[in-house]
Amino acid sequence: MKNTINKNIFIRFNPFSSKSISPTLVIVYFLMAAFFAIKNPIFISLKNYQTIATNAPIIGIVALGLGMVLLTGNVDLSVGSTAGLVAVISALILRNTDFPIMVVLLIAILIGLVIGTINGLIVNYIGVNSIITTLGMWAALKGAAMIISGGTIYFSNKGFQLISKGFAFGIIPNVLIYFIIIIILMYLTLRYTKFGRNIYLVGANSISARAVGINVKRTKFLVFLLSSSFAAFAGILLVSQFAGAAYNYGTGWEFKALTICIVGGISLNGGRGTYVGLFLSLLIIGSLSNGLTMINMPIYWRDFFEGSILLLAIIIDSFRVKNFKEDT
Amino acid sequence: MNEKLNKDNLKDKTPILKLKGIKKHFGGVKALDGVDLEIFDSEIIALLGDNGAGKSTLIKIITGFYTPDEGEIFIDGEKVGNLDPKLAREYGIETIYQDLALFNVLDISANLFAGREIRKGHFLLSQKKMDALAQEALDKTGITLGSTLRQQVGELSGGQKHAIAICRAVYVSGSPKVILMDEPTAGLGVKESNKLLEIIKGLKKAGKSVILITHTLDHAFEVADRFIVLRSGLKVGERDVSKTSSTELIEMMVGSF
Repeated sequence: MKNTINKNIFIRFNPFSSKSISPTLVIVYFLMAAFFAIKNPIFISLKNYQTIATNAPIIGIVALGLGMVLLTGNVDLSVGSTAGLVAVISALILRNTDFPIMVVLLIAILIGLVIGTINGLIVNYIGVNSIITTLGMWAALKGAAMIISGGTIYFSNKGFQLISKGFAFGIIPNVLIYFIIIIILMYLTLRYTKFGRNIYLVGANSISARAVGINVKRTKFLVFLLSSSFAAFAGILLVSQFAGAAYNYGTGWEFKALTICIVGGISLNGGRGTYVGLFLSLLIIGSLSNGLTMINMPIYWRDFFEGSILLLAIIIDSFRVKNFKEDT
Repeated sequence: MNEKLNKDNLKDKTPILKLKGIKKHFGGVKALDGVDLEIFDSEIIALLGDNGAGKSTLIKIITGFYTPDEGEIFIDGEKVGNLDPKLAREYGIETIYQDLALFNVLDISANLFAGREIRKGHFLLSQKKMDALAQEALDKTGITLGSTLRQQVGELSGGQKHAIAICRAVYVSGSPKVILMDEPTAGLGVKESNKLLEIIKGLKKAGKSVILITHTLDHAFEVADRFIVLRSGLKVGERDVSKTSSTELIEMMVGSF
């Protein structure tokens, strides 16, 4: 069997190759940006970047948590409903009580942890498939959000709105800063800590991981906590951005976050992908929605468009894994 | 049961590994039905048996991957309850599984240190130290891979993957006491098989013990001191290498005596 390191440029930039997807993503972004910029020059204005940077990081934070679950070989489809439920509950608390912002934030994260614990226990200690478990949770939380909210809940708390609407240094949206802090933390965790290494080992081959003494169940459990609490945080950011919550907040987020992860090179099979790719992917997907608005694509076309991209990403992902020749 | 064994010189020594009455079943299938075993240092045991005899199951119990339903395990004379893969490694039991237990999508360094990464403190990885030791270990294994440590293991050839698994169990592990090998020469070419047998002999010289599952009796005769034959979950015999023949061993494996 040949054993050479392929420096061939077509392998490096080939989206079907099993090597890093980042160079490809950079090219895709520039092509896309060029396309939108030509059709509507407002696309590359500072104001527009600020718009993107106010919306994209919120779904980006959800993707950061989801990515950890994907890396271990599971999936978490409940993130959208988690964000939605937390949004509704937070808005309710803010409307009806005087709790300080920090307390509400804490409650939100706590709710996320509880949801993550339930998901994690069912998937890893009872043994139910993660798709089914988190799908059930998706439905349950959605229903709960509907029951609790029954419509739109408004509140007004300037301080709270500043968490999500404020601009550091006057230009950079706060949410972008939160996102950058979290992505750097996750990147460092994955690359430089034992926990991060365990995540990759478990995702790459959970049986081998067990054979070398890793606590597979615990690793797979813990990432569910991350996923749900990040989704909860995103829910609070959403509330603070819109000064209110409706029952349908977070709808479709699981698919968007999944798209961001898969386009970013995080394989559905687990064990592969870096957060560098995820960052670039967010750049692309985040700008995509904005760009489609800029070129006036009708709303009902966008779902179709974004869904197709997810499908395409999944297909390319499966090619990248198959491209891997196994000899034994 | 006729035990033609020269146990006189081993009588007073404590076995590094002792299994007593090990039973294991999977659903209705009895994989092991009461197996006793003793391994001493500096010896090479060939574990023989037909398919389904229970050899792999026994290995997986020694390595902590399975928990026996009944029976006791003693390491260096001390009883060990709740053996798991991590604990087994700490006791100096290393394993090369039949499917190698590698991580195809991860790189060579990650594979070599899987589960026992070198750390600064409790949480942070020492990638540089691991890479340096990885290179040393690969050199000791005596195989040139012609690729960087960042190469994905899945892209290596079968023989190279075996080399990584061996390197991990023998050289990266520090000082293993017992090394279990489940069909290590299956799928290896002649040159590579011979190299492996040399490594096994070297381990014995270094005072370590090896339990070898193999279907190739030639290889077994070349390196083993003792044969242990399993059939249908039971140990049907133990023989000294000098006091038996292929014919006798095969008869024990298949059950025509």
